[in-house]
Amino acid sequence: MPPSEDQHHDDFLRLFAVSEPALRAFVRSLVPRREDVPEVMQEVAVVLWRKFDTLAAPGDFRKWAFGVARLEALAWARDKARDRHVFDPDLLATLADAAESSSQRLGTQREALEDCLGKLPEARRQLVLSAYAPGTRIEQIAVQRGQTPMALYKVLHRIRLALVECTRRALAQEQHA
Amino acid sequence: MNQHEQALELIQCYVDGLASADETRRLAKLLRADVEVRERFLEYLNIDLALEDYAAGGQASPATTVEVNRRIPRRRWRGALGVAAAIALVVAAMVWGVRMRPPSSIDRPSSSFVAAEVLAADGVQRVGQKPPFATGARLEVDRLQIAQGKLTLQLESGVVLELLGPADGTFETPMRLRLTKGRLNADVGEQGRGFTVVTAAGEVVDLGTRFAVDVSDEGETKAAVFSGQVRIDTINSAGHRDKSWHLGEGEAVRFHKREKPRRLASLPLNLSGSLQAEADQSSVITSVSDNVVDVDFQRFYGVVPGGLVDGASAYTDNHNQRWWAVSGEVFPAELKGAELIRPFQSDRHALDLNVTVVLSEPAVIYVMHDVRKPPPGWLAKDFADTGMRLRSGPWRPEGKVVQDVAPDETGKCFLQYSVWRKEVSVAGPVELGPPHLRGQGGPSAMYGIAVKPLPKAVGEPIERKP
Repeated sequence: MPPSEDQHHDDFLRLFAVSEPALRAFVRSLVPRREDVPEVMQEVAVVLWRKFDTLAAPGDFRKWAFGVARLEALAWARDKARDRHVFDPDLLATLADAAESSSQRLGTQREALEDCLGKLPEARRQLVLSAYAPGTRIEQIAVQRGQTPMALYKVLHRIRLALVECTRRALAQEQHA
Repeated sequence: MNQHEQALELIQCYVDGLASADETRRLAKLLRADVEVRERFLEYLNIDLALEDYAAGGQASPATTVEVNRRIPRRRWRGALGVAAAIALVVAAMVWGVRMRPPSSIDRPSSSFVAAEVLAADGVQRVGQKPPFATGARLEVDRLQIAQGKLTLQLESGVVLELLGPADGTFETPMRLRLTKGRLNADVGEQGRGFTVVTAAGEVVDLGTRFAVDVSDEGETKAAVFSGQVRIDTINSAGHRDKSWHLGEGEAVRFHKREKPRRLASLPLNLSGSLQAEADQSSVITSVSDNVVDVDFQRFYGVVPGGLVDGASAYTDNHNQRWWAVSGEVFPAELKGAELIRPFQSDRHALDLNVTVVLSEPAVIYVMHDVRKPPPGWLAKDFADTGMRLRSGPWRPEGKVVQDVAPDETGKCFLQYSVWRKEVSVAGPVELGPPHLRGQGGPSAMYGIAVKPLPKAVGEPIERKP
């Protein structure tokens, strides 16, 4: 007996929800701005849902979804070909390969982020979270802090570098645990 | 700026949407050429995205959900709406699950990020594939792990740390650094008072000072004070603080876990009077010790490679007195750059003193003797007066050491020394006696010691004392 429509939805939900963070990270690596991610992800979700019937086995979902995300991101980049802030298709393909093969490690890195945020001095932690809060404008925070926006971007850069280093160590320790 | 630093700056501009077309092109070039830059790029973007999620409270991007609803074909509208809502719920639950997970092995040992500025990075090689430290860079660091070189950082508290590779330290708090391996010098300003270096053997707590800590692979901790005072807290078998000892200027100890600190008789120093990196230690002088057996005596001899120069500190218990050329003369070329041993002034009255210098190869030993006293027998017998003269100072005119010396035109007192030499053709221990003879009262200064290797033919084996 074929699955009911509700069952079909549930299956898709489960699979998509598991892969969604990795897919978004993958897409993020191929588009220049954070704001571009939702636009591409919308297309990815639409195509995945539309073609879900063609998926041979649930175990193939992640690989299939990455393939779809890659095509959608490249299609998005083609549309922006005249934008010189977007990488060329060859480099995007190289990055897509690297991002796909690193997706598991990057997922673990995201999980380690909270621990690393906890190690930041409270003031730094509050700053970085407020800078990333939805609807926040860097210029507003810079004014509140009496800094120029560029100075604030530099501070955020240092915090992100520290977090990257911290999560790297976390990954290394987990690998050796 | 090297390639990786340049790449990181470009990545930052790209991620923040600030990159110009030219910067995007330069980043693309680096990404194509270097797999490590690609790896960094992906990690940086990944953290950027994860921060966005975290700051949003772990919710999936709402725009994704809304747009899925809008774009799903009409005949599937009801189903797609359900999908969208459920995606948001499931993703939120997943992130909540991550946030609520119990601490894992990666949480240990506990650490804390500390804001620091890189004052210098001399030949520093970091452990792992990490970007090099750049002088002037401001960092958030929780762990300092270097394979070699000398890294000088100033913390927000004002504490200046000089880490000598190979070394590994983790900040437990901005005022506590756990050193698991290697050497460091700490110059603690007034704000940094109380700064603590934690090791497997105990804790070295600053009481307003300049000090050094050295942790060996075997877990032994060595601590030395160059000025001021520190407190050493040893730990017992249960890992709790056990007993405390105070260490003052010119004193050094070594200790293992559950052990009472013992005197550390000699310490490798650099020209600034701080702990020297292992790789730069004297290759001629293996150790310096003496026959003092007082358990409370903790003075150390400093061994400074190439340290005998005009203005070099002469003693370890008072760094104000320095070696100088005699007024109106140049510093003797023969002595310049010799390995310097810095003894301590408090030994000047020790009439039974025996100092043992262990040489790793044949060398010339120089002894600088206070000319106010006749040379002691051991010096007159085994050494020859070179005719060279040095002076030490400035000494406080009211000090006992110079009570019979008139201040010079600047109001400062200097002492003059005759320089004696002895060639030692066999590697091994060399004994030096007391600074002056019994029965010779009056003020005097402790002698100075310097060593220069004897020139040897290429491939010539080193003869050693049995």
